[in-house]
Amino acid sequence: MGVSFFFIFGAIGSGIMVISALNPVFSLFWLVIVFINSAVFFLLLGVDFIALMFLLVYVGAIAVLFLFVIMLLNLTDYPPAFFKREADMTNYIPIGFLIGVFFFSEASSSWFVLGPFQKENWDLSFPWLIISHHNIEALGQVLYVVCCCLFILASFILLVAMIGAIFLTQDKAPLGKTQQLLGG
Amino acid sequence: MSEFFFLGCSLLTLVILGLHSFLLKFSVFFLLIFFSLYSFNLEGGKVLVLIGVFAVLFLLGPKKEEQTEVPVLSLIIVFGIFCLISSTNWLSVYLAIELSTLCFFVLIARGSGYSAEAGLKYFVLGALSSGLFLFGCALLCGIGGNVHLAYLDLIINSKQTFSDVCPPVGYILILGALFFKLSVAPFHMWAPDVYEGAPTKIVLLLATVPKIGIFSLLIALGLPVNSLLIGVVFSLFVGTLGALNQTKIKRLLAYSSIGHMGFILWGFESGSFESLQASLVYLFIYVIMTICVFSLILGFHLYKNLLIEFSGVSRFLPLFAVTLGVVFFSIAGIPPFAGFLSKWVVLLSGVLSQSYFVFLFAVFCSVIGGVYYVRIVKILFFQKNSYLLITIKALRKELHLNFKKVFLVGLCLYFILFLFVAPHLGFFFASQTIMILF
Amino acid sequence: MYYKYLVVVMVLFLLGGWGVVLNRGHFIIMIVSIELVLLATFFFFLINSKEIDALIEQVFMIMGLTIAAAESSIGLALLVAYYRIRGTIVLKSFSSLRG
Repeated sequence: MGVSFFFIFGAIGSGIMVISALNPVFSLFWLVIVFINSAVFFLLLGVDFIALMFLLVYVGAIAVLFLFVIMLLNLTDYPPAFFKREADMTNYIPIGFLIGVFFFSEASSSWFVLGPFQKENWDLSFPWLIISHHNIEALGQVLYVVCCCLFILASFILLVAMIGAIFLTQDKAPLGKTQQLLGG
Repeated sequence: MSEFFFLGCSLLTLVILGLHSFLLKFSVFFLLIFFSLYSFNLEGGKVLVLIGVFAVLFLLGPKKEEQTEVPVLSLIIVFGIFCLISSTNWLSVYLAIELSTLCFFVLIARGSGYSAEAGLKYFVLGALSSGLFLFGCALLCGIGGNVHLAYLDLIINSKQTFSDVCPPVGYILILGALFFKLSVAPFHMWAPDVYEGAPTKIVLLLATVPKIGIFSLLIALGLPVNSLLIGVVFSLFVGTLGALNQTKIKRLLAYSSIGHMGFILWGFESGSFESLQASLVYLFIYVIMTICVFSLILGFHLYKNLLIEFSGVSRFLPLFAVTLGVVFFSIAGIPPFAGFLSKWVVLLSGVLSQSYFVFLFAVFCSVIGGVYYVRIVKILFFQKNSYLLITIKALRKELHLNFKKVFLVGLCLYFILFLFVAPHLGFFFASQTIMILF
Repeated sequence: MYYKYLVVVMVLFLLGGWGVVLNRGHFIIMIVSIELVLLATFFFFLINSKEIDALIEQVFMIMGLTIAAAESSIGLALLVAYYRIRGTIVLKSFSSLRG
């Protein structure tokens, strides 16, 4: 219990730092810490393959991609909007409060509804009665057998991402620099 | 999964498009239509999707990127929408929606300087809404215990204590994301900006194809009525009042499509056989009118997309002006044209299901909406040239109408003019499509 | 027994939403906040998966991971395209599409 709560509070605290950091690079490093914390929590939850894959994909690929773009475009000196004086965020308070109450009531109601009926078993390593497959093995049997069509669909999505990234960033005739007759 | 015929065809098209051959592209596309109609059960939604994407592929010009990347991404969009129409669980619904949406991010952002901005806006809102959709899926799947769509009905209509708490939230999140994709009113903010900024051919694709897929998904879900009614009323209201003050043609068409979405959603909301049929007929006529309007706009080559650029067109292009006037009358719902037929059947089914207040509201909104469509016709026929625009018009002597655009406009205009004479065939196909569902 | 962690899910989800709203001017932190929303959703999927003992939700989570990666790559490509045209990424210059 104690271990998992440590990582959970780590994830939440770093999440707060992500959205309030002054510098996008710091924000990204806090995001990496969120991912590491949650990956460790997944590991404690018993889904070890997904935890490792999460670490690999997010920290190894996505965060590095973000950092690469930030460094490429030299975006390190744009502070967030709410640190500026003219940004008026007060009219977001009521709707934010309402949405927050809404979601917390959801979480707490499901917790309170389900919580008292169950035995207080605070141990995360729940002893399964039948363990015949490892996580990666069981996932493979579902992913490649039952969901094979969806697996191909997901590969199509990655293909679209590849085509899109190349198509968007390839050089074409200069756009904004030239003077366009009568707008455009 | 007969969609994988289509997947194979798309891959084949990808390969052949690598050869930059125009003739081969269209032959493969016809082959693909044949395959899709032959191997799928003939659902009306898929036919509508094919009509929309065929119009877009038909309009593509001789530029290099319109020969290679744009048709490929359009075909992938069609593949995604087909998977969406025939999907039965949340996982494939999510993947199919994301497949088409990611293609749209790319297609919208590739164009002039404004389109990058429009793509960025659409990306931020679309990614957030897909996150909400995924969260709603997590809620529903966690409670239903399965990813099948049919469990939604089980969750919403069951009487257990736990299910009173969570499912509405998941349902509302999913419905919000779907409303976003449909540009139904509380989630419509992106539509005018994206319609204005994106390339016009892509707007034509965006205005027809994904909406058909999402509507078929909404049919496949069991529909709780009240949450849809909010979207209906809001989008009728916004689509009417937002368009009144517009000066740009594509923003006006965006608000007009929001209003049309309100009408179509009202038919789905009523839920009876007749109203679903009416909504499908409305969807068909909406697709036809959208194709016609956008190909006319593409042919007229506007400089700043201002409405005022149409002023006095009837002097030097009378036939074009008459065509555009007919199409706008049809969108407004003036009687002898197809738009009146669609509005009439939806209103009739609404009256039959005894929702009189929404009926009065819809009539009120479409009367007010008639003002700005007729205003365009007034600009076309009776407004004098403003002096600012004379120089622009001096630069532009000829229309950019080639054979393809004229062919599309003629085909759509045939439906718009004469569907009112014999609408039986459309109703027959719509009822056949509905019969599959029940 | 894992439902107590739903509070964590909700907190992360709200943090992501607030990040999008509060950093309206800053596109890259908006994408990062959307990643936070997706992270909360993955949390939810895994907790559900352990709770109701269904493997399909883990598959759902893997697919969601794929889409998150694709989405962020396309978003960054859009960012690069926009930066190349405008020279800035502050979305306050978004006002050209108005009226």
